[in-house]
Amino acid sequence: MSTIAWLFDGLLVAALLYLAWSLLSEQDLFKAVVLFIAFGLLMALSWTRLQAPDIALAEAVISAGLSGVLLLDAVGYVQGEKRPASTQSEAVKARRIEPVRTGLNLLALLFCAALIWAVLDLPPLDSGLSSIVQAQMGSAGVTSQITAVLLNFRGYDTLLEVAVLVLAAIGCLTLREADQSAAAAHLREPGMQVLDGMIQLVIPVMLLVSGYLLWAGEHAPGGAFQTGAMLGAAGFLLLLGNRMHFQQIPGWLLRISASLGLSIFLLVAGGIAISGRSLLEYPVSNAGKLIVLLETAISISIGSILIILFAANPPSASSPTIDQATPSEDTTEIGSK
Amino acid sequence: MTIATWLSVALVLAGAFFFFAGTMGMLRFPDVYTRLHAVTKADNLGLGLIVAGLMLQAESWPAMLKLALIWLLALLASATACYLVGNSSLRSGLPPVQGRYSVRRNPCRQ
Repeated sequence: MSTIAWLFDGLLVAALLYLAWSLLSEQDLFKAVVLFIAFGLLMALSWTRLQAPDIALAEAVISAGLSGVLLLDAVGYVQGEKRPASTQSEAVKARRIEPVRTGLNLLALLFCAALIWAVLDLPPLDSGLSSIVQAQMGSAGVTSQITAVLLNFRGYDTLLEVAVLVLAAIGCLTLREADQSAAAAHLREPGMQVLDGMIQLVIPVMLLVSGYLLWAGEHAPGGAFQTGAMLGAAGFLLLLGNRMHFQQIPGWLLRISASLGLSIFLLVAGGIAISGRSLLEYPVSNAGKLIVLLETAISISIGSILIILFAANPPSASSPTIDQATPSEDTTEIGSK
Repeated sequence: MTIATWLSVALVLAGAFFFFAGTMGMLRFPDVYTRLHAVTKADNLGLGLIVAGLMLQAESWPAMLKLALIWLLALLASATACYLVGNSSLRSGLPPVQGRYSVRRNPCRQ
């Protein structure tokens, strides 16, 4: 049995290396993105083999799914306005960047060697920090070790990560308001009934799964990031199927849902700091409740931030800007999640 | 090994065969439409057979139902994706290869 496992892992590693090489050397951006999606799927498989289901879930949804969609969107946008360049200047440019490229390659090789050295230098079969985490689980408020680390022991890291996501969303919205000329290339062709039917069937299942992931995060693989990614994916489907129109989502709703996680995180941290503890040191009796509150808020935020990243650019030519949009009743799908 | 185990092995192997056939079709068929046909039909059947084989090995009823749900979702997604790819190919004016097909005139191979 272990021979088969070795064979499988060997094939997996070889396939990952091959995919990484071919996606980096691929000239056609579309093909490179497709290879990147395949790479993400195999990475998710690798995390499963390493018995890290939390990371496998996040990798599958974010790297293979959402990044794939974002990259395909970007490729469509870039190739739409590609200007024909004269081959001579291309050649001159290529000669000029050649030394830079060689230097960067050398740096990458050095970094790779340092990483290999670091891995070889690891003590064999060391459990790392897991014994320390295990010893502190009594005060965590949840039974899943990953969630305990992410939202309790190392909550500070997660707070900053959520802040980075909010900044990315703000950047995207700012760009959107600057550029109103480009038209949205959206699927408006006939024959969308099939996609419509699938969306009707799949969206309830996606909402159910995201609710399950949120609930499961307390004791099993799952949690805010996976839930948020699932909500974001549901939003992508609604946008692509013309079920949700980004321009019609009221601005206040976007702002509240995107900043909800960070705001509640900061409120919790501030409240705890005022009560005389250190920044994110939850009181043990309420730690579970606080973590559930934070996870729910962060999930909603991540979902809407992903939707903003996907839909904010390019805007539709005829649509009103976010500030002029009238709040309407029928486009509150994000908020109801 | 029990009968259930043998049955699972047979089902999973049959599923693998259909995956192989679908992949061969995708590599060898001349145009988008026939390739879509090969991939979606053969792979959906292959996945169904593999899921059936794994359901026999599942530890509990909920696990079995989850496996079945995975197959149903994959069916739904691949049928829709197949339709969308085929529809947009036809709309963008990609002609289906008709008549006798020879490898030398394959438009997908430069």
